[in-house]
Amino acid sequence: MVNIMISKHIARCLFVLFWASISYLFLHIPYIEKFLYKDQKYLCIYTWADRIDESILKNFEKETGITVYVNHYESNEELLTKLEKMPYVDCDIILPTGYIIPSMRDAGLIKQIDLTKCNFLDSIYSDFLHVDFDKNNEYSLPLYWDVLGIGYNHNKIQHDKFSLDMMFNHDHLLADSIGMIDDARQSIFLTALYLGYPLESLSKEQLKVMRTTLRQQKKWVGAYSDSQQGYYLASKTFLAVISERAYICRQMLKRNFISFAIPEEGSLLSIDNVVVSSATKKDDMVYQFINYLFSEQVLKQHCEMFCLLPVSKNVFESLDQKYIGAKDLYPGSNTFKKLRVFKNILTPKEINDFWVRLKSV
Amino acid sequence: MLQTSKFSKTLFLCFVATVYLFLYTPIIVLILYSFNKGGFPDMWRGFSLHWYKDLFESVEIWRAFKHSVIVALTSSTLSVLMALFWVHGSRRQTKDFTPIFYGNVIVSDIILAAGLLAFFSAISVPLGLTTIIAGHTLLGLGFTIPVIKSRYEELDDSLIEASLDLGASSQYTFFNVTIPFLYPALFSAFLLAMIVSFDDFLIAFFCSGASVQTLSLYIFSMIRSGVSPVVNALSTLLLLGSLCMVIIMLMVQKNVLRK
Repeated sequence: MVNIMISKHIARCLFVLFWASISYLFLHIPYIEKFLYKDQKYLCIYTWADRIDESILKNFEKETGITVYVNHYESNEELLTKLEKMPYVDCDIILPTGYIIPSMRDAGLIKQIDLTKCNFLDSIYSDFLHVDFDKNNEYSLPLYWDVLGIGYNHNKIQHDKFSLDMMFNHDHLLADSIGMIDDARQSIFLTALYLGYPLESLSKEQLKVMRTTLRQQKKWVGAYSDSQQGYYLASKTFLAVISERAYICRQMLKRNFISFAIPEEGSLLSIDNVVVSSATKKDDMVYQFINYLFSEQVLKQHCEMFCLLPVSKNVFESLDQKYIGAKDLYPGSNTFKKLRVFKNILTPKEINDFWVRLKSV
Repeated sequence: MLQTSKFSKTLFLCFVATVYLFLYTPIIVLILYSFNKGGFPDMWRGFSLHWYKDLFESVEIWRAFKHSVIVALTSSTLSVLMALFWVHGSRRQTKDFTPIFYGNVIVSDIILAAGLLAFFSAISVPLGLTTIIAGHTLLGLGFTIPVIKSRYEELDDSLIEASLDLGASSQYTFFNVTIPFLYPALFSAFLLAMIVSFDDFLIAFFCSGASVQTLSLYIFSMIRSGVSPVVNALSTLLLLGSLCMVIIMLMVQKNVLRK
């Protein structure tokens, strides 16, 4: 009787163990897949949604026989968290924004770029090289750049000069209700710029004043959004919005009542970069694709399709003004000289706390 | 008296029509915009199948769709099988532990998703299709167990006893008496789990990693470059697909009831 009971228990344990092993193996299929498909020619790219067009991937595949899989992330913080949490990353090339690169480098997620394998370095504007987040361009190469500014309906708003005062000060508002960017880091930068604070360091007191300023602004902010500001202008929901130039420029191509201006105080320069994942072992294919991505034809196609601004001098000069969308915006111009890169002077936690406390009131 | 009843009947019809209009206007707008020549938020600029052409030419959308279908089919199959075994296996238990699975439905998706991500990273599981399938299976159990259990409770024990009395093995009885009786519930639970999986964004967002994306993730990322009418075209096709599935389900239920 006891023997029967024991064997019954053993059988049950074996049953549980069997299914636990099956589940464990199931969850580790990606490792098995990697082993099975190790000889296949493919690359995985992790990027923002509107950076790479499908047609260029098809052409690349046709030319080289390398299949490219593209996956998207929605924020640099999401990118970092996902890469840090993943013990195994099937990702070869990443296209992050500049400020997150030091964190990626420190976490060992990216590896040094072999500049000798890149055939386009001469064409890049020097303004985008040796930037604070990667002084020697050891880990990253700039690909596109953009700027924050004011999108507005020029049928209703007629001004020659625009300043941040028109978006932050109730007495000088451009419109009763405005659209504001939904990004903590960018908002902190703009507020500091508006208040005339140094962008190299911010004290707790200054942060407090900035939060109060943004709380005040909340009264006339109709909506916080990153990518929808162009739609708000197009649908005439708001007459003025703070947004990245690309989103406004895309609407400017379709609607002739929208314009974009950079505030007199200057604005934030953001640079999209190419980095190579430390997990990749396909260096030859990686550099083949990076060189392809930087080719003038591909850059121009992307810039015209997504209204991106290229770091390549030749491509920038060949771009029609309608894809740039703002006056006097080119490397070396007076407007460009007022643009600044926001250094990582606040920790991600400080930025997050700042934003949560602002939004929760 | 007659006038009052006519008036209330008309009022009732107007009310019903308004409710239906409220429910279906977004879907009608979505379908209409999939045939609009202009983009969004343009006005109507004429009929065009341009967005459908773009949809069928896009490799990325179909890859994301394929992932969604794989995840939905696998996770709903797994959750139906697990639910069936759980319900069948726990029929003679004195304590009913089934309510623990209702937690999946009660707990907010975002908490479940964050928990799954923490769990997967703790046991060093690579994020990808398999982790999304695992997450959706877990989520699906909250829906499939109640559906299958409620049907199982209607099963007359005397049917099983009769089968066993007549010499059938418990295995034979399970496959030839229990399962056929549960068919409608299994089918409904499968469809429910599949719809939940197809709709899910949060679990896929947390558990997808960098190498895989489902349709909901792809559509979300497309929003950055504008609300493309390609999404409308895709949604219209999905709507048609769902409609077909509902019709099939109704036909199956009708046949079962007739029998």
